[in-house]
Amino acid sequence: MTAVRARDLVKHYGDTAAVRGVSLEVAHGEIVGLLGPNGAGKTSTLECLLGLRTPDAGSVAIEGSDTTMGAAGGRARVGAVLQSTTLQDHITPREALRLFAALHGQPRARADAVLEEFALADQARTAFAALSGGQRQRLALALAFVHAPRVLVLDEPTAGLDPAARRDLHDRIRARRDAGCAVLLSTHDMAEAQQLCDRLVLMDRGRILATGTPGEVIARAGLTAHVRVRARPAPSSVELGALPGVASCVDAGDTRLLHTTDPARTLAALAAVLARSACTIEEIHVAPPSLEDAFLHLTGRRFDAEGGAR
Amino acid sequence: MITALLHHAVLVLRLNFRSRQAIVYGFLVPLFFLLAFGSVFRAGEPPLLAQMGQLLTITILGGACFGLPTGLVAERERGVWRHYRLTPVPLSALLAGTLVARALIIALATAMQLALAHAIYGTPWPAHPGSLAAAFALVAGAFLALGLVVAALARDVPAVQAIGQCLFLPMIMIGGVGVPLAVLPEWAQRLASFMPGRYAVEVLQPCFNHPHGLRHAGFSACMLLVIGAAAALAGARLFRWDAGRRLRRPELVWAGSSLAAWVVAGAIAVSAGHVAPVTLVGDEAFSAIDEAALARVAYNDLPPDDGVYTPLAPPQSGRRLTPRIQELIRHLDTWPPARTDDIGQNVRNLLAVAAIADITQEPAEAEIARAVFVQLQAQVAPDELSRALGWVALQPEGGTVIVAAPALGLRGELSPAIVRERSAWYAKKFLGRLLGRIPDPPAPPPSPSSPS
Repeated sequence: MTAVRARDLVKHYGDTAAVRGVSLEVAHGEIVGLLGPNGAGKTSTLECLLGLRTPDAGSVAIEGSDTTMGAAGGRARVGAVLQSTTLQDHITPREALRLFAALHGQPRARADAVLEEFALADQARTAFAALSGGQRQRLALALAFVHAPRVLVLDEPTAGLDPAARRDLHDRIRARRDAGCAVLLSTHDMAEAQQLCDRLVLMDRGRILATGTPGEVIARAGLTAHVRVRARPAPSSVELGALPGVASCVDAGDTRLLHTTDPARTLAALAAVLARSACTIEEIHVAPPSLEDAFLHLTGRRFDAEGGAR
Repeated sequence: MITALLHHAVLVLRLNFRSRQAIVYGFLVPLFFLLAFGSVFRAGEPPLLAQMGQLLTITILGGACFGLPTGLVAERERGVWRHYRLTPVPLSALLAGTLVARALIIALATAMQLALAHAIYGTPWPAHPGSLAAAFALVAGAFLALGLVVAALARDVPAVQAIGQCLFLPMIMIGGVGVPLAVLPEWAQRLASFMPGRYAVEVLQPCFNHPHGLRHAGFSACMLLVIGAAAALAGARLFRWDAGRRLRRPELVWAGSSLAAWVVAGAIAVSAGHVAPVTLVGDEAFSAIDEAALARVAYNDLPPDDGVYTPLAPPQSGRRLTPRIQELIRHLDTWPPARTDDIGQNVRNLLAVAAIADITQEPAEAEIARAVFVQLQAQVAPDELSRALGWVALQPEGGTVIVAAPALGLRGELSPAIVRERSAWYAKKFLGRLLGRIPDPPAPPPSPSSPS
């Protein structure tokens, strides 16, 4: 049974179309990532799914049921981490978990068990304001999980975390997936999307550009690998551009950047050229095509580290 | 749902007492107002009793129109209510929990003020505690509803402060809440009828010192109910859990309807004649009693001087008094409540001594009353005494009333209503004698047992 199904969602804010006909599905036991730059419509899509926004058009179904997320029944089946949500400064993780357990009709023991499970027992009596970023995000995930939902919706759950905290959170999300949960998360981090998600929904300007596994999304864009060469004296761009498999060669000072559809043949020919010209090789780097390349290819715009597109 | 409501109410209470800011605004500011009022009105007899309605109104107003919306808007801005929205519990239950917690916090602050006023200034406990509880519920309910409207209108916490001050300051300055209505010009008193603060004071104050308690403030209670109901309706309709959502123009009609209820209440009060100028107590009030007013005093319904009620001994009864009574009479001259700066209230307090002796059936009640009359004539100039006695006779509910005089050996907490009634009778008996309307036998030659 499909855990989450959205059909043709549309959401406008005034004259601005934030979501334009988004349809997606998430099954139990998989992590689906909504990937896109800031303003792509990821959060609006998730908020429509969660019932925090009313879509102008389209429908949402949870676990095959016709109920929308705005209904209490839908809310009981979903756990959510909202973007940049904070709790009251003086609330402790134990109090927050016990409150949300009570609101979901769960016993107090369940809250205490989740506190342990998410490694927050040592901070049980610490004020929220005094928690680290990683601890806050763990608490947010724990709150989302306090009623053992079968569907998790996470809006940029690792934003602002250091690498260690991020890895820890990834492990916890994978554990939920392995336990049969459906996980739908949004991120503007290409590397995170590639590492964590089983399937991706690449979004930009309210529309879906591509869906599939990370490999499928890249392949669908028909992208090439990169070969970066730095040598003295720099080899001729014209000569390198004529190597087998090379689609284009970009000249950047003493560095040449080759796009190739056949990295193996290109590298063999490149080695021969470099040996013949007797130049000193300082660097050769081969990179497979990335999601960033796919985004660039599909939108004509580059995706920066902060989630912006230009 | 009830469990969720209670769970949330308990959490709000806990978090409130962990917040230094909430403690300052919720408890230290009311304490500051108590001390400020105490420093101004401590000479009242009993001290501060006539200002408790104002004091409690300030506390409730602050807790409801600042404390509630500040907490709600801060949580809304942080996304806490968005998070609550994702649970199966209706937000109305959680909001009800917040209101219950806030009402308890305000109740605690008012209880603190009552206890500290009693401990520091000797302010008596409210004469009608049951009425006070009902009046508190009414005032707190109306102001908490207004707090909900403030929370809905405010975009952020600084906006709460701005809107709150727009409500708070006018009520404090010209609404009869901070500055007493009696010292305000008539136009301000009229304007105060368009603000809920006046009705709140009028509902709370009688619970402390009026013989009929809350029943005395039926009209004000109704006006407060109208204002509170309109605010509750608007607050519920306008409640926002999402900081990103702004109020739409049509929704502002609801906020307008809340304000319109103030205007309706004021218009009803004006048209029904409920905004008659409030008379001053003490000096200013008794000095307004003129010859014409004195001529209105009737003496034909007074009990006989040798009867059970308000007995009055002849100028020299010749009766031998016990040392205790002699001591009491001697102390009348230096008794502090008769020596304040307020001549009218001094007269009223001395009359209360005669009234208390009468009600408690002191063995020499008639002689004590005569001693009070002698003391009044010795202490107050004839013209002022006539007008002060006329004030007590014509306005028995004016000023404040003492119900015990332990310094004079007169104990027992009495009903203020009876003390006022007997004081008024004695005022007439004394006034009639001063003005020659009631014959007083001439004093015989002095004897050793003379009370004076």
